[in-house]
Amino acid sequence: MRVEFDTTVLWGAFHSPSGPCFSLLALAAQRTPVLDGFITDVIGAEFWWRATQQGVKGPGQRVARTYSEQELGPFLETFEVLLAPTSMARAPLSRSLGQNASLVGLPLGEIRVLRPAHLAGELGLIDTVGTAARVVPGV
Amino acid sequence: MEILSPEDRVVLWRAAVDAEGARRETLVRTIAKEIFESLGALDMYADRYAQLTIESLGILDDAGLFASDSLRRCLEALHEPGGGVELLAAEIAGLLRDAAGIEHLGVQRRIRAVEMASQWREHLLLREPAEPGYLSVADVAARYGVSTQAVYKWLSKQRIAGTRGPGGSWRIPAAQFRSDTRPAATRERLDALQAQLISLHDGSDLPAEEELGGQLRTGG
Repeated sequence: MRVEFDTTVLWGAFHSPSGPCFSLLALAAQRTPVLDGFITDVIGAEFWWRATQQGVKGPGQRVARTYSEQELGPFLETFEVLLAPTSMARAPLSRSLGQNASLVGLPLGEIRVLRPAHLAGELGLIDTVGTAARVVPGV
Repeated sequence: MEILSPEDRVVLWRAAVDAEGARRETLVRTIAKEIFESLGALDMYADRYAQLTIESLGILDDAGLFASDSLRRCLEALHEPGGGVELLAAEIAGLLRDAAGIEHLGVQRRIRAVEMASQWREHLLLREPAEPGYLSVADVAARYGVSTQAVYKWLSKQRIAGTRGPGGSWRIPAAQFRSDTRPAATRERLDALQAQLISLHDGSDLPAEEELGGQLRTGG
């Protein structure tokens, strides 16, 4: 299953290291045959900008906060394998996928952008969520 | 060594789940002893692993995960041929990873849960495979840090290949996990990151004074 991770998944993993988003990134980063996940350069840049400049609120946090390079380092270094050039070349359009799917040269169905909880349920990482997984183009 | 029957182990587990206070603690320790006495199959028969077992079950109990049905099933099958003890060890590791997300345990015990999950995992992976070229459900769960239930789901949905052996246990060809040669993160690194992030977010619901001041000045 080929999946593009967006910043929602990155933030979910960063804030909840025992949650489904972390589990999904971990599965993909270990190159399991069940999940071929990747992050594009645009997603990585957006995550970095929000983390270091704009700030973000985690679960239960009352105010947005920024993070230092030192705090972000281990997270980004661990998951940088998902940003490998071989992955980038396969998804050059990143977030504009939904509007420009034809330009990618692949049918939209070949890249699945699913809600993390649904995907984690499909892979048995959490109890299956009641509703069916659905494709969400251009998150 | 006296080995309980599968039914007796379930009765014991149920009694522990229903008990409270000191009686519950005693029953959980009795189950830990039953598990520990089976760990010879994993070359874990040493005092420190007795402690690991007791501490693991203690954290799972405090996290509310001791009553998991998956743990009951693995306890029931503990002495079954074809890797009952390995399945239980992998399940405990998976549940400990879940426990690491239970906030009321506190940061230190959550980090300890990650460390103990790594210890169970290492000892599962260090032993010789029962059949060269094939992995068990416990092996795959340990390798990727997921629950045994997740691996059963991958098999049932044919996300990974596997066949049933003569005894009914799964034989999973190891080669399919070596086909992707792209750079990968190791499970050790992911465990270390998980512990770092738990520590980083400790008390993060309390904003720093300067951040709160900034929010107030801007009306945020």
